[in-house]
Amino acid sequence: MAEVPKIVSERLRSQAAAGEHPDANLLSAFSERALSEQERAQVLDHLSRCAECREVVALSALPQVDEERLVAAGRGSAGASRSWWRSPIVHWSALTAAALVVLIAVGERMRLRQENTASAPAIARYEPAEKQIASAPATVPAPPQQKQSQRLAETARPPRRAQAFNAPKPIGAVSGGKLASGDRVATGSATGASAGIGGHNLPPPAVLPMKPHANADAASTTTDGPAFESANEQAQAKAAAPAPSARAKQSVGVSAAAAAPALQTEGAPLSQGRSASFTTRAFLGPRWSVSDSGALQHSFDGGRSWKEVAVAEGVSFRAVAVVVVSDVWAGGSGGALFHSADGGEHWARVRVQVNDRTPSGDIVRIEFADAQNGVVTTSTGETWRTPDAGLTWRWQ
Amino acid sequence: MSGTAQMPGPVAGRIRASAVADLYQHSHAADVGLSEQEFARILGEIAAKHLPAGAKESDAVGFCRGLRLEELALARACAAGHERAWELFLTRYREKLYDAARSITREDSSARELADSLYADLYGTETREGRRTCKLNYYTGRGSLEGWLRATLAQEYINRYRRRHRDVSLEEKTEAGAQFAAADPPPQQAPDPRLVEATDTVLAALAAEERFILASYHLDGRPLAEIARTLGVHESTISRKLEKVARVVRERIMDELLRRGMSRRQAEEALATDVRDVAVDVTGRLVQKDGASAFYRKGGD
Repeated sequence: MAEVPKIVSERLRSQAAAGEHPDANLLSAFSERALSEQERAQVLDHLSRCAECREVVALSALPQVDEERLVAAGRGSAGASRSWWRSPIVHWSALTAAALVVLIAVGERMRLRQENTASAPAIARYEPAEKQIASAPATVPAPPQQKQSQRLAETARPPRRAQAFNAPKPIGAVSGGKLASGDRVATGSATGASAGIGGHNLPPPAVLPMKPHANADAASTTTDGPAFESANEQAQAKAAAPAPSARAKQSVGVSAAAAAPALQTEGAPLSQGRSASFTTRAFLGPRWSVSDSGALQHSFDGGRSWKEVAVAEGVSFRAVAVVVVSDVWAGGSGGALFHSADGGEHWARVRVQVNDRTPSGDIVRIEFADAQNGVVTTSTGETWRTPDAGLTWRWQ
Repeated sequence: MSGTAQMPGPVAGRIRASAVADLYQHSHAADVGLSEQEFARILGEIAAKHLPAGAKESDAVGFCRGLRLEELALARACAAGHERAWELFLTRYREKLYDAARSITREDSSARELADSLYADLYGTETREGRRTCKLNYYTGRGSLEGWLRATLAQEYINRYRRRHRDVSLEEKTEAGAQFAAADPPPQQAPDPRLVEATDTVLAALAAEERFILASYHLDGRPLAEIARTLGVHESTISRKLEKVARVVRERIMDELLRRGMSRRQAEEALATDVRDVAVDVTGRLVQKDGASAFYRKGGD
């Protein structure tokens, strides 16, 4: 971090706070971003000159829920208690061991395949990734209507990425695929918590249609359940067939990757007969943030680099929250709220509404205690609570 | 309730009774024993405090809707001594208060002492002009009641810390080793007044947020993540801003020094000087006068 000349620190220290100290009401409202712009600017100006009030704000801040805890929460309630097996050493050792097992399994599988198919035409040695994925067993059998819509959707979609993300498959199945160099395939980051959402059989909530984002090439074979409609899914269904059944929800794959720490596999493009080298590394999910310009962004390398995620046009984001790795909420201008149940691959707009009332300002804070219970705070200080993952809301 | 109560005060008095009734209903104030008239009076006081006298009715209504009405009603009902309200308050906030105290003091007994002392203030054990003074009367619903309680706890903690340091006894000082306190450092050589002026000018011209980030990081030593949480942005944003502000401050001070007649070299030297080290003869202190060995050597030589 760049240092400032010492004289700057000295002069900052000698600055006198202007005017009276803000009271606890203003300081707490400042921390909760419930002040108007003008009031916030005044309080911030005071804080920039008053070490004592900065101390009050810092002391009264809620303890931070770190990412590790969030990930642990997604793995189950057993993660709530600290025990020896949750120590970082055990944690990383286990992940390393798992990665080694995967590598060995991949190598062994390739060796066996080469031996078994030595006399067969080369083209048969490596199945395309799509074929492998299609043949992989789904842990949750889809109803006929869903299967039909899945087929319809598949006709219209080119990408492998979403399939690889969603379709449950044995680890290493991607090894024979034709991934472009640098393509990333997350073999599962969903958790039990998000699977629970999909498990509900509830009537559709108020949902706003949304324009497909820039990554609309990613097909939507899994969704967050019947609660929300994904715009991507709508677009694909329309492209495939106008039948209403094409918009049916599918929950295939939501539970497929549950509880397993996601493994990210990168592979070089394969050609027939060539040996492949793969690196597999532990991946605990992306980090999310909102950029200065109000764009949603995520990082897969612990925050070293960020990539913008296109969710909806015309929305300036101000808050993002991750319940578990796959369960992400983002909100911003005009009370717009979006939810992704697949780690940000697809987004559905969630209407925050009670009767005719909608949020009066921007959404500036999103907090979810679990996958169901959430609180959304607006720039005007309104608090909206949902006890059912966004299906219904209560204004406060 | 009748639904005809009007807010008193220059601003809120113009709010229609129906709007007041709507706010009252939304606050569930009736559940904690607060009448609509009483609730309207409280809203009127708060609106008068925060809104200009000429504010429109729509602004006043919008402002009141932005308040934490339910929590406000609960706090004020507690202050008014309604038993049901206290039951609710204790159920909802007792543990949170102790947790907040623990996170502030990081020690159980001090936390309990701090929280108990705040409880006494919240309940109102002191009287002023024959009336019980209850701290919950100061809650205005701008932020959450929990946030207000935490901020009040933090203020109380800082006040106690300051009081304790002011009132510490001689025995305690002795026990703390004050008799071995280091001698006062020699008076430091004042930095060049042009440097002070230039720095003050540049700092005054910074945006409040930039100054806040600088002070939080360089003065208070707070981690980036904590500053980011306070400002509601991502850690990476703070990191970028801090880098940028540090660079801009240095450049602007240089410009100011040049404008004040310093040469570039003089300005660079002035900026590179650590004001805390100006009076310290580092070289003189490092060089040993008698040429003795710096470390003890085995064998006694």
